[in-house]
Amino acid sequence: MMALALAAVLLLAGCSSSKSNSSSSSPAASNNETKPADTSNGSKEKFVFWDKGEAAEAYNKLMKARVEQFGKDNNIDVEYVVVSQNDLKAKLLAAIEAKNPPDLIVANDPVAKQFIESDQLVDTSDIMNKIDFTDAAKNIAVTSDKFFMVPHSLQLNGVFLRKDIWDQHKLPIPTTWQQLYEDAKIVNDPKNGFYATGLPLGASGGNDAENMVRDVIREYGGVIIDKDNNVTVNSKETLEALKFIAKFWQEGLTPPASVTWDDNGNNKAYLAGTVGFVINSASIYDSLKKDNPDLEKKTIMVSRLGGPIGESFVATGNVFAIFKNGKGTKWAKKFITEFYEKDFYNNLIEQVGGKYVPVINGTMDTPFWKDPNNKAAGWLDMTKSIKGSGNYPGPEDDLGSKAQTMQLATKAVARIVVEKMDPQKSLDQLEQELKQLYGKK
Amino acid sequence: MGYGLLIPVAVIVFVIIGVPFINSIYLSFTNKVVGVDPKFIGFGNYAHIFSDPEYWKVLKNTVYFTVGSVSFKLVIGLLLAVVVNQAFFGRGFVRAILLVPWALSGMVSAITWRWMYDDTYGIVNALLMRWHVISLPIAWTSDPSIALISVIIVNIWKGLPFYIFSFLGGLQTIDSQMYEAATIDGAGKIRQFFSITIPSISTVISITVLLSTIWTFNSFEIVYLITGGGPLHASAIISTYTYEVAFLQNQMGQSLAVAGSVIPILVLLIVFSMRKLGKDD
Repeated sequence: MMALALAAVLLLAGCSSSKSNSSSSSPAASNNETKPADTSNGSKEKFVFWDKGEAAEAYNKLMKARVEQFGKDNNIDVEYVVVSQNDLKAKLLAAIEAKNPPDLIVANDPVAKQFIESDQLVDTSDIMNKIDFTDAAKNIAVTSDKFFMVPHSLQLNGVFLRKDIWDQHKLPIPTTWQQLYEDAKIVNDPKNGFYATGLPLGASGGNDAENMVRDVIREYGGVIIDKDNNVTVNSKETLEALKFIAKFWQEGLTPPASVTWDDNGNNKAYLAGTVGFVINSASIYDSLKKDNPDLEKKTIMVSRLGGPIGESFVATGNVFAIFKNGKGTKWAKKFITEFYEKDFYNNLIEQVGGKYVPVINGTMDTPFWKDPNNKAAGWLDMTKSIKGSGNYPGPEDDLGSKAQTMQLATKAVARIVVEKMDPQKSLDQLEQELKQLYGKK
Repeated sequence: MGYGLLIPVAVIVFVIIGVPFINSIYLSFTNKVVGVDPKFIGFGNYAHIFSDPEYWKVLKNTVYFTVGSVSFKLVIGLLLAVVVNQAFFGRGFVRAILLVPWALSGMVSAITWRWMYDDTYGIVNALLMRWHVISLPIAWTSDPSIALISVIIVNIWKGLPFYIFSFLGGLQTIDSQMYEAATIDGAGKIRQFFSITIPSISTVISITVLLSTIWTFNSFEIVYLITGGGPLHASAIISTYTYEVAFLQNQMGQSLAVAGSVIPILVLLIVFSMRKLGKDD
C-alpha cells in the first residue's frame, strides 16, 4: 500500500504544477544567437521555467513579466511556474523520474547541486565565461571545479534582535555567541511566553539550522571537511561548539518546539514576538514592515556573531540550473544570458528590498546600495565575512550539499538535546555518518 | 460468459494497481535513485533497513500510533455513539458538531493543531498556564516523550466521527424491544450494554476497526505536518519515514524497501477484513 502511495506521489507530482502561467504571443524580431522558433508546422517551441516562490511579491511579478516578454520576443510558448522552495526537491525528483523536467529552475544552491551527481544538469561554463560574476557568486555555483549552475543572487542571513528588550535590560548589542548566551540568560522569560533566542534545530531538509550549526562549528575552530577532502570533524573544537549550541536548549533559552521547526519556524516565532533573537534572511523585515510596523521599529539587524576564532559563515544563494532532459534548454541558456541586463537586474534586486545581494561586478555601485538609510546595505558588509560554501574549507562538491541537506550536523546537536546523548558520542556518530556519505574509512 | 465480462475490469485494475505495485516491489530490490537506471541488488535494501535502529524505532512508533489511535477511537467512539443515540434536546446539532473533524481537510486540521500545540504562542499552553495547570509551557511537538502522543491525540480527534457515525448506524438497527425485555428481566444498563448493544453491532465494530487500522497505519499528513516525524524520529511513522528516505535522501530503492517491509502486515489486515465482510454477507 505504502509502495503504491509512493508510486502515486511520484506520478502525480510529476504531472502537477502550481501557479503555472502559460502564455504565447505573436512573433517579434530578435537578433540574438538563438533564432525565433519556427511556427511553420503550427506548434511553437516551449520554455518551462520553475522559479522559487519568494515572500517579496514583487520578485515573482517581475520575473513572470520578464518570462512572458521573453516568450513574445522569441515567439515561443512559456510556462512560468512558482514552486515553494520546501517542495522543490520532491517535485523535481518526480518530474525527472517522469522524464518531464523543467528547462530551467531557480533554487537554493545546495538543492540544485544534488542533481549534478545524477547527471541531470547542463554544463554552464559558457555562460559563466560570458558574464562578469563576483568571486562570491562563482563560489556558490562551482562544484568540483566545474560549473553546472549560474548564480542568480546571494541570499545572506542576518541577525535580527529585539533592541527594545536588550535596552530594557541595559545590555549592549551582542557581538559574539558567548555574549549572546550570557545576555540570553538575563532576558529569557518563558513564564511570560518570551524566549531570548529562536534558534532552529529541526530536520526538515531546510538550510537555517544546518547553516547555523556549521557556522558555530567553524567559529569555534572546527573543520568538518579539510581542504584535502578528509573528514576532520572529530576534534575538541567541534566538540566544544556542539556542547555550546546545545546549552541554548538545555537551559531553556530557546523554545523547545524549535527542535521540530522548519525554515519558517524562526520567522513565525519572531513575528509573533515570542523570541528576541533570530538568524534569518530579510524576509523577516518584509513581513514586519507589512504586518507589524511597531515590532519593526523595535528590531535591529546586527552583524553576525563571532566565536573564539571570529566570524565565519557559509555563502548560500540562488542559482539557475538547466536540466539536460528539458525540451527547451537552448531557451533556458538564452533567458539566463539576457537576465542580467543592467536595468532589469538592478530593479529586480531593489524591488526585493535588497534581500538579494547582486552577483555581477559593478551592480553594487548604485544609489540604492549607497543610501545611508538603506538597512539592506548591511547585507553587502556581510559578504566580507563569507568564508566559502558548504564544505569549506574542503572542496565544494555535491556530497557536501547532500551532507548539508541531510542536516547531519544539526542532528548531532539534536541528539545531545533531545536524546541527552553524550556530546562526544554524538560527535563520533556524526563522524561515522560523514565518512559513510563521503566514502571514507 | 461471467468471467469474460470481468476481463475489462481485471485489466483496468491490473494496469492501475498491479503494474505500479509490481514495479515498486521490483525497485525495492534495486539501488534506484532518481535520474539513474536501477541496478538489481537483491535484498541489499532490506538488509540495510533491518540493520538500521532508526527503522525499528519508526516501526515501533507506527505500531504505537496505530494501536493507540484505534483503541481510543473505539472506546470514545462507542461511548459517544451511545450518547447521541439517545433522545435529547439539540441532538441534531451535537451530531453535526461531532462530524466537523471528519469534514475538515486533513491539511487544515494538522496546521491548526500545530499552531495550537506551539509552545510559545499556542492556545493549549496558554490556557493551561492561565488556569495554573502548568507553570511552564509543555513542548507538545518537540519533547520526544510527548510528540508521538500529541499526534495520536490529533489522529483520534480527526478519526472519531467515522467511529461515532458507523456505530450510530449500527445502534439504530437494534430493536428497542430487546432492551425492554431485558429491563423486565432485571438487567441493568451496563448489563444491557454488554449483552445486547455490543453483540448486536459487533460486525460494525469489527469492520470499522479493521478499516480504521489500515487507514491509521498508512496515515501521513497529520504526522508530517505537525512534527515532521521529529524530533529525531520520535514521532516518525512508516509513511513519513518512507517520504523522508525517498525525497530528502533521494534513496528511492531503500524508501520502497521501507514501504514494502510493512506490506505483509497490511495484507494480513486486508485479508482479515475481506474474510470478515464475506462471512457477514
